[in-house]
Amino acid sequence: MELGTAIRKDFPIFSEFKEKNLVYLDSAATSLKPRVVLDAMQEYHEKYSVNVHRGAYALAERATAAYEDARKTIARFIGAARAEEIVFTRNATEALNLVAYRYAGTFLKEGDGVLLTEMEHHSNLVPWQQVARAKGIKLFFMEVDPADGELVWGPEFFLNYLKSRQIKMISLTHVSNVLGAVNPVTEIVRKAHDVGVVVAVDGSQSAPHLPVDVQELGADFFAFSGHKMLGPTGIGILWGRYELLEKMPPFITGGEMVEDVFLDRSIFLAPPHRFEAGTPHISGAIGLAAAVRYLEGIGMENVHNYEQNLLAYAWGKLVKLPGIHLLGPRDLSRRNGLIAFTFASVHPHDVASFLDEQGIMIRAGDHCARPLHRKLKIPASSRMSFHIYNDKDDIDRAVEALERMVKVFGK
Amino acid sequence: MTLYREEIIERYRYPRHRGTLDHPHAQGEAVNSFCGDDITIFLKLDAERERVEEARFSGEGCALMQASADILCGHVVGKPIEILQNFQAEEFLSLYGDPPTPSRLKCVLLPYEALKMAFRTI
Repeated sequence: MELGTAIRKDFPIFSEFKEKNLVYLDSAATSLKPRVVLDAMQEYHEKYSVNVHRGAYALAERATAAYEDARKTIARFIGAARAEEIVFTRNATEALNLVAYRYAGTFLKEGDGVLLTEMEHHSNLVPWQQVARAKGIKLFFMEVDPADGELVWGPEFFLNYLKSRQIKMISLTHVSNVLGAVNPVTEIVRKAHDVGVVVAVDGSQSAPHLPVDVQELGADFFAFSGHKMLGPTGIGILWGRYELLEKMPPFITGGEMVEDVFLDRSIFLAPPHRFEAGTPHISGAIGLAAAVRYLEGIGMENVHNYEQNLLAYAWGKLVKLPGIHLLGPRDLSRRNGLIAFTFASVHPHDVASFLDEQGIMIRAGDHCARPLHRKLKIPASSRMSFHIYNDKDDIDRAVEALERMVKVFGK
Repeated sequence: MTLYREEIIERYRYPRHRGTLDHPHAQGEAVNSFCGDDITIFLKLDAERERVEEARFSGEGCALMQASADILCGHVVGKPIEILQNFQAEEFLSLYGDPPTPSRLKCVLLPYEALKMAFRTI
């Protein structure tokens, strides 16, 4: 299947911007949505927009079936052992909060350690800070090498490191949203499991771009968002090993998550419904399942290969620009989907605004990774990120605009 | 419309008021930690301490912030302190010219905030 320009017909937003020829290079923030996703959501709203898990009427059964089928589709997409391991959340942030508050917050004791990395998105850092403060848990961080933007990690010292710091849990990102680095999650998990350490993975930047099989990955929790993988906003996923989910108490409580309720106590449902209080984002789950089927139709291997080609092409062009500094690993095979950069003499916000005025959308700021930017001793960075609807022409236009910018702003 | 009209680029590349002042009569700093911008404005007053005699700015930040600082410093030189103490953000924005986009408004107003801080030290 041909990607890039050829599949833009599937994405209605491109016809909205026909004259301006939309150059969207910010898919790491959120992806564009294909027609099939919008249609699936619209069909729910138009034809069977009733609540799930309740009504004894046929339409409610249809809605429940669509919602639970969405769960199965997503389970298949990430290779989960069973659909009941898929918890619908609002986004990856909520999924990570659920792990931090309800797994670590319940099973870790005062003095236990949680290991994170210096490259985490705030969503995989701030919740841990809260839980650590409340429970007397200590946080430790795997360092990022500022030279090549990779995790400083040595398998030979790792077990000692974990033991000496009483680390009981690791939570790390699969792919950095700033460095683009793909972390060696499988190896880290293998070592961690040798000493009984539980591992959560933030898959927000991996699930949309590369084949993910949670069983191969070996981790215990895997969180990701729908809207970065062609799905709608407001829906995210927490995958967890069933035996872990089963012993976790609920997070948000209320209707739809109880088996029985008395005035003084309640009996909760088994996972995943224990973690889905209130009316869920039904159309969101249905839309995300449509996005997953669309991606499966293309094949995640093809998505990954296509984006790696774009990455290599963009890297080759960007690296020649005067005054540019590219962040992250130099070995492109250890990267995925995005390139963040700084210019010696142009502020990242000027880079983004200048490109915006030429119809090119890139991101500037700290990308919700303030501690990482501090470590790299830069206030902010600009970032271009790709998905299947991008092509080399987008990159050419962005690079030409950057060339003009260097001339205009050059001191 | 562009954020980077000729005057802005010109002021950014060749600022007239960039630098520091030894023994300033007033000095104020403003920081935008969101983008790492940091600006300090230095003021020197006349012998009667009634008017701004000299104004300079230093710090790191985007082109809009630096151009805005240069415009602001140019504006305050020679003005009576009494008037400047009531100098409103809206007045400054109309002096700055074409309005920035909402997401960049803060960049343009940062020097103004530093000036307000400087007046607090008089």
